[in-house]
Amino acid sequence: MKMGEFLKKVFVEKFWIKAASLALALVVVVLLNIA
Amino acid sequence: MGIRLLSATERLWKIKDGLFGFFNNFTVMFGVEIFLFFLLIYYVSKVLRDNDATKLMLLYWGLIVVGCALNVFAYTLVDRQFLLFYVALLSAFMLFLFNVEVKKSLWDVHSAKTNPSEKLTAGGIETRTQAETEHCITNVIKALQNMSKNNVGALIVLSKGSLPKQVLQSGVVIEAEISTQMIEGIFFPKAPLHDGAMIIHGHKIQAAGCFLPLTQKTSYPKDYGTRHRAAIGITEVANVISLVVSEETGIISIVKQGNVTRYADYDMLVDALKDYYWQEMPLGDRRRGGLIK
Repeated sequence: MKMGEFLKKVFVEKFWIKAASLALALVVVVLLNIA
Repeated sequence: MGIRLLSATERLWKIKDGLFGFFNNFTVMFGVEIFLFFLLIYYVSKVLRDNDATKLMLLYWGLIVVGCALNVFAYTLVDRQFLLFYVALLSAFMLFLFNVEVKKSLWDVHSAKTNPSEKLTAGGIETRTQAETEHCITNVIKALQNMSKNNVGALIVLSKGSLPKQVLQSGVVIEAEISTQMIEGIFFPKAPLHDGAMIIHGHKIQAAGCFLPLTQKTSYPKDYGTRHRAAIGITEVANVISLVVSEETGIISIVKQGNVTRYADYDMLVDALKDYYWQEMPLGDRRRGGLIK
C-alpha cells in the first residue's frame, strides 16, 4: 500500500471518527460539569 | 419569548463562565470522565461504522449534539442528570441494534490478531495494471458463462471492503488469484464450498462458502430461491454487486442496491465488472482510457 493511501486510510477513515468522538466527549463532560 | 431569550442568553453567559472555571480547575477526574465518554462514543461509532451503518453513526452524533444543545438552551427540560442518562441510553440503544455483532466482536477480541479475516475487512486493495484487471474480468465472465451453460448455481459478491465481518467469518478465507478454473471448482455441485457465496475483493477471491443475509422483501418473484434472496439481501446492507447464476435455469443476474437485472449477457457483465473495478483503478490507468467507455 502506498504511503498516500495509508495516510488517507488512517486520517480520513479512522482519525475523523476518533476526533469527532473526542470532541463530543469533551462537550458532554464540559456541559455535565458546569451546570 | 423575551423571557426565554433572556434565560438562554443568561445560560450562555453562565456556560462561558463555567467553561473558564472548568479549564482553570481541570482535575484528573475530568480527564478520566472525558476518556470514559470518549471510549463509549468511539466504541459505538466504530461498531456502527464497521457494520456499514455510517448514516446511523452520523445520526448518533447528531442526537448527542441535539442533547447538548437542549442542555444549553432548555436547561430546565434537559438538566445534568438527564443529559448523562440521555447519552448512556442512546449509546446502549445503538449497541442494542447491533447486539449480535457486538457480542461476536467481544467474543473474538482474543483472536482478533490471529484471525486473517479481520484484516481482510481493512479494505486494502492492491492496485494492478489494466491488463491484469482485464484478465480478472475475462476470467469471471468466462466462469459465469460456463456455469450458466451447465446449469451450475453460483453466487459471487464483488466487495469493496465494506462487507460485515460476520459474512467473511462465516466462510473460508481463500485469498487466491482469480481464475476461471478456481471459480468453477468452488461452485462445482459436489464441492464443499459450492453452497455459499464467493467474495471477490479487488483482484483476489477473498473467501468462499459465505452465508449472506436474505432479503425480507416480498415484492420479488416467487421463483427467486435462497441464492437470489441472499444476493439481493447483501446488496441491501452493503455497497456491493452480486452476480448470480440460477441453478434451475442457468440465467445470470446482476444485483445492485437491491435491483435485479436478469438475463445478463456478456456486455452487461463486462459493464458491471468494469463499473466495479473502475474505483480500484489508479487515476493514471483510468486516464489512459482502458476502462473508460
